[in-house]
Amino acid sequence: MKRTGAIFVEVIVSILLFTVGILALTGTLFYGVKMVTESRQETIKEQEYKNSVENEILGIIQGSDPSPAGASIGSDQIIINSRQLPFTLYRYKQEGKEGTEMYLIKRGNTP
Amino acid sequence: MKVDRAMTKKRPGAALLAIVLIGFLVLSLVSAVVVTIARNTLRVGAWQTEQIEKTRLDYLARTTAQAVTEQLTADPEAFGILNRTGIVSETKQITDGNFSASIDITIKGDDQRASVVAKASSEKGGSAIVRTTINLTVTPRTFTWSAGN
Repeated sequence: MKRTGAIFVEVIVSILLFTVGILALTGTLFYGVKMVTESRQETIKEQEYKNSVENEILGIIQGSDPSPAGASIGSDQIIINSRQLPFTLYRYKQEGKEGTEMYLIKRGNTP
Repeated sequence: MKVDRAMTKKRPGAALLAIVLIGFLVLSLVSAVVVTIARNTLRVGAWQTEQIEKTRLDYLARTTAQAVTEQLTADPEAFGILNRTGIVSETKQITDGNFSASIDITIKGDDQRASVVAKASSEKGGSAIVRTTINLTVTPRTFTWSAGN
């Protein structure tokens, strides 16, 4: 049985597969280069965020920060030896980045 | 690429086979490099997540210790008479979205000094311990910070 053109189809399929592979590799390389280029800015942003939370802690410890900049997510209390320690929980988050939430506790007024 | 002419004449397709094999080898090498880079990126990502969790627990323990210390500085017997056995708090659960942690406080001391140990533990198994030691013999009262047990 003669199948003229079978080799042509094989070559086309192989070229197609090869092209897809090359494109995928190029995409990965470009992504890697982009990540490396952006990492500097990303590190600076992360450090600034961490510094701001550290400053908030310092403000709480020094008592110079009456209302922390974080989002208040409610007041609660810790029971120590049947006595209450009221507190407010504050949440901080790096803008545009998931999973970077930090939580700080600030003592509330004792009843 | 130099291919033996006599060989290719004898076996048509031998040159193509060599090209295909070398192409396969080059692509395999490039793929191995890409896979290694991807694996390292994932490892760094996991490490960063772990570090964020540690920092999160440390901040929580630090501010908890501060809250208890503030109270004790104002009134050393705010949570009962200080003793060496220790006053232990009820475990406080903090939950927000995917984050969940528990806080435990232990206060030990005598009429000279008080020690506050705040421990924040996460469900993932991580924990952070922060200790403050309050000097009750001086006015105004001072306290020192330390980490761990």
